[in-house]
Amino acid sequence: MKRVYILMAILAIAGITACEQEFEIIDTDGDNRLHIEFLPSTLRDWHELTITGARSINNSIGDIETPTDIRIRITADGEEVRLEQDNTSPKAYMAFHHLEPGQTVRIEAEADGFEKAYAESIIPYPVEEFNAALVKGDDYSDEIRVTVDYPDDPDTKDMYGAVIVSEETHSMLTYISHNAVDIEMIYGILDESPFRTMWLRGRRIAYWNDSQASQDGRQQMTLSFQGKKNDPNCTYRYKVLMLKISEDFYRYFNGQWDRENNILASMGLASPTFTYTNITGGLGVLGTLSHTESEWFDNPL
Amino acid sequence: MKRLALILTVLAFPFVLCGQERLRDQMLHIYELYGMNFVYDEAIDIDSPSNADISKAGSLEDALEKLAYGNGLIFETNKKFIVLKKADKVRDYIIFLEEQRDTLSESRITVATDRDRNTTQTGLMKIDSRKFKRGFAFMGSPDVIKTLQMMPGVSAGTELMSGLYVHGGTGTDNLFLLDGVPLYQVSHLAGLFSSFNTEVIDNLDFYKSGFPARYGGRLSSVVDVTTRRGDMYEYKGMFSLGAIDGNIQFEGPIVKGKTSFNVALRRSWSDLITTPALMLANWKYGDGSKVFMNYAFYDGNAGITHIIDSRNTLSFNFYMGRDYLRIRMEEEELDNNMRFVLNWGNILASLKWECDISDDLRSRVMIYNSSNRSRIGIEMEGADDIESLMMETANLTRVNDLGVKGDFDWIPSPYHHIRFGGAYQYHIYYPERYSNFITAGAEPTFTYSDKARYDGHEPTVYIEDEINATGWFKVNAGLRAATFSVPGKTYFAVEPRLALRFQISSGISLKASYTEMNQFNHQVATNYMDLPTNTWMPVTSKIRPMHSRQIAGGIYMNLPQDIVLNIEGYWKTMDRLLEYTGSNTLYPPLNEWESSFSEGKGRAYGGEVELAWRTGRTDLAAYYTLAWNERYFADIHPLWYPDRNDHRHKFTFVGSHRFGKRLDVYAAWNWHSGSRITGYSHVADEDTFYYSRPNNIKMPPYHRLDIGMNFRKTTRRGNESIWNLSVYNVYCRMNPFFAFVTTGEDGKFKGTSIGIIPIIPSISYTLRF
Repeated sequence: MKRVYILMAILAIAGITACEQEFEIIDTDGDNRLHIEFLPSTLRDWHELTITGARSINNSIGDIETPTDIRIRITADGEEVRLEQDNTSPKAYMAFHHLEPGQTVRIEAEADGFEKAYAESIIPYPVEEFNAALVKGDDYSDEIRVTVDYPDDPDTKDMYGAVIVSEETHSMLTYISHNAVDIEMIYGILDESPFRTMWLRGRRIAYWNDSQASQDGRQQMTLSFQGKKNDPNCTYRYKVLMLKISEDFYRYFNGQWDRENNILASMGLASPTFTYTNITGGLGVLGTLSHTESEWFDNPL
Repeated sequence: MKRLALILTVLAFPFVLCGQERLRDQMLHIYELYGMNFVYDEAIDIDSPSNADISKAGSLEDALEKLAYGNGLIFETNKKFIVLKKADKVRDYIIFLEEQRDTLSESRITVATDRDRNTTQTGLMKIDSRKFKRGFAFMGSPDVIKTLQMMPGVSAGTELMSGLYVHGGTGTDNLFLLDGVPLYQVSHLAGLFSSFNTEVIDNLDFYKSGFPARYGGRLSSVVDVTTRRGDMYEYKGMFSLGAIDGNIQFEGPIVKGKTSFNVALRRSWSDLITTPALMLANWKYGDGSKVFMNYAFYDGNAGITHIIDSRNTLSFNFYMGRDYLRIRMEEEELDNNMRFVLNWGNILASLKWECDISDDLRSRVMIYNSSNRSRIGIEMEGADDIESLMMETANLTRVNDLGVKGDFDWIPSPYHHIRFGGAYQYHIYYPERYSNFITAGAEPTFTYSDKARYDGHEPTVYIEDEINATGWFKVNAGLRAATFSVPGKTYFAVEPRLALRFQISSGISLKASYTEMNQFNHQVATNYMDLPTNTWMPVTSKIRPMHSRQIAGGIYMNLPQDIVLNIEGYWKTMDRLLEYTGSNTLYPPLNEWESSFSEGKGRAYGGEVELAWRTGRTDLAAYYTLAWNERYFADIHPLWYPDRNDHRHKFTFVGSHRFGKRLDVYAAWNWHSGSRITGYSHVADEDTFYYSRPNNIKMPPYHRLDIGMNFRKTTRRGNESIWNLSVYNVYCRMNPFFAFVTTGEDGKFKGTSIGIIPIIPSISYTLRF
């Protein structure tokens, strides 16, 4: 305990002389803005949209309700997309449209008291000819390692992602459920994992860019997760969804991750990377992704 | 030399016959006795009768003192000649047509003339050792970097650190040269002190723009430091003890008039107190827990100069600097030990041969080695109920440069001064990271090791011509070409350099310059702090060299009453800058580290004003900078945003005055607009915060006042003793170190800044013998 006191005393020299001061802040970006998060994909024919009114810190105190008179227009290659408000939340909407790779999705939103916000993104073309392999990770746990092998064009900047879907078959109750498994890092504690993960609509997505080493025009990525052993009443099998995500999607969620994890940046001691937006006049992101599915793999455990 | 002697003898003859000695005669007499050439201020009439009697002088120093003080002059030694200036009208000077490291033959001796009027370079500041010694001494020690931080166009970054952000630079894009050798780590004690010992510095050239073609490899500035050669005739030195460090310097002849040495050693002494204090505390409290801690830094400069003959000089220079911090904790009962070690430093060595090939052509050939090493390590040993454990983890950064370079100086006619040369540098970067976890039980040992080695080959050639087209128009046109080869890729860069000077009148000149620079290495850092764990890495096949273009121009005026007014503007663009966008870690991964960085651009523009009044005793200067500094990184934000060092306004007032021989005082007041941080800009539902762009919040302005004074006295043995008292941050302004956004009780948003640097008084004692 004395040891701790001595070290604390040394650090307290800075603490004793430290001084807090308050100052008025005036952000140059003084307008109220709409925050949009819209991530249409080829995974489903319905796409969730959230839109919130955000007030500038320059403005006077008081709540600002999410405006109810937001006028939203979404198009896919110029064709109007049907939009319905989600009854569970005034901020949530559903857009119904089957999207194809190569289509341009555009969103525009307006509300009284807010700057007009708009953005565009192109649905990326999916990864073709990717291979996946599932193996048992080690002898001590139920770790399963998934390796995806995919082609990469060195001349373009590409972003990828992966979702692992598990299928549980309960023989007693005869039903099948599909869940997204929680993907983990597998690299050592001193090295940064080459991918990051995020929760998106109940699924854990791993995402990364194409800066890994390539061999013969192909790259590899290995992910791991904790599986479950089959038992007489329940069996498991797995499928890999290989994603191709838009650059905006990648940058935005990289920034989100950084804001939640980068202590140095929050102290102003490192570069801030959590400010990305591709919404002109607003905040948030319009990001798109496409997917390719693998076959079902039997449980390697 | 002999030609000058002859000239002076012929000219002196009639006056000698007339009886009274002229100043010129006495200069000639000193030359004959000691072989020293003279350079004198053009305002001095050397044909006027001398009021000094040097016939009984016992040494060169004695003779010069009598000569100077008897005629209202002051003198200083500069290389192998004596500079005479008027005591009541000291002016900055350059030895016209000379590079700082070149020898000077008598055919080029000329009257000293005003610095600013004659150079073509914009953004050039020449600072001699006298200015350092009379400037502010932090903790009793004058500091190179802290002097430069006060210059216009320079941002200091974090307070008390050795950051140098020049014209919107990144802080890692400054070329530091010590006797022509690149230096990677330029700070001690986390940046509190720079690696340059001012006691051995002869001269410093600081370029912010208008870089001559002989410099390259960094984007934003060149800090070219030349150390002083040892005195060829007399032994002398100094000793000083400050609040943190001690310094000793000694120089003198090995062979009089032929070979000399100059040695300086500096070491911190705080560990001499903290180490025994902790040992006492450990013994007194003796409960089985012990803590040991010590921090120290030291550096040493050594130089040997040998004059082979009148045309050839050989010199060897060596520098070694090191910092180390060790913390050890022991718990006897649990048999646990933990040790934390952090050390870093540089070693430089160079061998240089200077040759006057002919009256018009000089050469300088040098071979050198520069290495930089830093290590941070943690070792833990312990035992729990089951088994013993040992864990060790360390991160090493190593850079080694081997180089050879040749520079030539050719003056084929009075209208051309041509410099050309080439260099080859072999860079080796080998960072390493490892971790061992060993148990004595059944669990296997875990070993992690990550090493990388990056080799880079960098040959360069350059040529520049300073053309004195007419008396009022001069141009310096140059070209530099560099290649950098790494596995899988070779980069080639051509860098044009152009500087113009128009002499409007005898006291007013206009200058303009255009330069392109490339940088083939990067300091890979995950944070803004200048930590020794930051890693230098070369370009790779995926990471391209950084590149900058800069246009600068201004008007430079020497006004009546010794007033100087310079107004300068600049516009600078930077491409292929790197910003860390990896995860929250102190060390980026070594292999494929490129994936953790994003490429972007920068631009900086602004204007600087310098207004100064300089006489022999008083030196007053005011600097003002108006500047913009912006960045664009598509991975971070889709639009241009301000850099964290985007200080819109900067004022500096500096003054010094000499009250006779015994007392001189100094004061400096610095003010600049606050640095920038990223804070949330929008809020929804009271607890959801959004960020609109980086560095959107400006912290409060930074300002502080420093004062200092030197009390000089001659001891009974004729040595000079100096007591220095200095106060940093006189009115204890707790300038923001970092800040964040919070919500007040009234719901309004406000910023809260934390300042940690208070008033710091210090005292030091120096003895010159």
